[in-house]
Amino acid sequence: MGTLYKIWAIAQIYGRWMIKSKLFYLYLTVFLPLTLVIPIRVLAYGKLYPYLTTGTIVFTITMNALTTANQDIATDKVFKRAALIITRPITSTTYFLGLLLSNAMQIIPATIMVISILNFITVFRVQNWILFLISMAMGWYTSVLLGFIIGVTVGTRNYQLTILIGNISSFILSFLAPVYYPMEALPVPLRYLALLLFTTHVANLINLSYELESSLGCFPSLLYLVILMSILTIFILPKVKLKDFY
Amino acid sequence: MREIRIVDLWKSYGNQIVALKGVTLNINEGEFVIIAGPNGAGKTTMLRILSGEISYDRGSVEVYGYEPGNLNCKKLLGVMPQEAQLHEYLSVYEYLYYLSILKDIPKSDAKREIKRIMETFQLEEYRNKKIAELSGGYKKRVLLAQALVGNPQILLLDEPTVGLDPTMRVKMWNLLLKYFKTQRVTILLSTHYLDEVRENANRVVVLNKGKVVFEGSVGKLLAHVGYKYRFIIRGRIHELKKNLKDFMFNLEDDETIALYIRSIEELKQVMELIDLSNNTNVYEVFLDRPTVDEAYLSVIGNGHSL
Repeated sequence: MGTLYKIWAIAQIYGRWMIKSKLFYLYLTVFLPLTLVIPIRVLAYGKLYPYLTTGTIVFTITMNALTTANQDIATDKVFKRAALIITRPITSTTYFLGLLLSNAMQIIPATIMVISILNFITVFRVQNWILFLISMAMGWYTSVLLGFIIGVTVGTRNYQLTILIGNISSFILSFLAPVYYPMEALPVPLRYLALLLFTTHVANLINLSYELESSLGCFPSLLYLVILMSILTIFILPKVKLKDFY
Repeated sequence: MREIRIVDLWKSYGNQIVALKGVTLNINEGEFVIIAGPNGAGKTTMLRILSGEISYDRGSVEVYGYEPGNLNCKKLLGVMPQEAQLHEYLSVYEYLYYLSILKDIPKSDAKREIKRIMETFQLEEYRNKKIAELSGGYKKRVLLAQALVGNPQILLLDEPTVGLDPTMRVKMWNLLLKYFKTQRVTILLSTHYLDEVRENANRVVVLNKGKVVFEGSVGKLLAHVGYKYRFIIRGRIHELKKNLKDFMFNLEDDETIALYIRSIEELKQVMELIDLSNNTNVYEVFLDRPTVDEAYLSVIGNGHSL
């Protein structure tokens, strides 16, 4: 119970800014993904409308989760913001889970808002809600882990570089992977490269939840994401150590 | 008696900076120890090793029998880092409340504890104010307050008053010293304002270039300066100098001479020689003691050479 309570306290410390600055929160998390919907909606033709929905959801989750995780760790390291937390009796796992919960607290409302708005302005019919939710959860968790890894591994003194890498990564994962368009729109050699990006698989699973046609299938994407999440978790846990954190 | 035991402690950052070079130190429970030293002497590094924030290369450290960084060790500590960005969007109350939960204080007691701390640090007025909206002095107060949440047995305070104006510094020292007097707590305090806390410190440890160059009471540190009193005479110096040539002195300006007196006997001798009641060459005199700052400077090699 004590540990759960500490995880909750850490999540509050890191996530409560969204309640304090609601407009800024909406601007950061909802405004950008939704502004992209309009030009893409104009450019896209009927068959591609569902991909617009998938792309916007994947972009919302990836950009917000990855950059938030990255910035939390980078700010903690570079500006020693974590000093008051890591000198208290908590374990690195508690700290990690606290950040994870804080990230979820920030991403879930934004994603629900984006999905609700998309429901009004696009063709949006989820047929398999379980697959839809699982794919979003996997996309979120993988994005957070990547954000943590960037925050932990990029030079501790260079805050701007860390943020830059986080932002570029989220844009690559959202726009160079086939999430706003079908895989078949890419030239054949690039399709193999796209398969390496986890957002390709998240988008594929979301598309399958709409019962859109997919050349990838459900199982390979699920397997890929499970393996990737496991590897990233194993990689990040020893890195989030509280001693010599900075 | 429990103690903080540091034996032959070495710490380097990368290959070039050796921050601590074989520091050995014992601090007993209930002691108030000032850690002094110029910037880069290794004070912060030592405190950060004790708080478990950073590891060390060689030697051994025990805090009341625990290795720094151990959860049981962290439960004993209240840490005020020198530089730490706060989560400024939180209110003072929220921040202290969440941090108190991380200190293993049960939810039912946390609110009472925060109330107590906020009263101690006169922060009630700012309870619901965002930390970002506080002045630098009040942010420091929040930093100190969070260190005292849960009545820690050991306080590690890294330059708690740096950057504060004199009024705020006095307030901070008063709050801290009041706490020290009412709780049985061990304090390790790094500061440049030695004279402001000299009365209460049991011991001063001076670090320079990663080594302990002095360790002892404030009295012992003062003795290091080489004189007991400074007797300042303003008057016709040329006439006075003739009688005082056997004493250590320093000409401060054309009309002022500072005599460095080593004992009360020497002081009596000087008084007799200048014969204040009949000496028209003397306009005025002052007598003062060496400051801890002077003694500290002489220890690290920047003081008067007498």
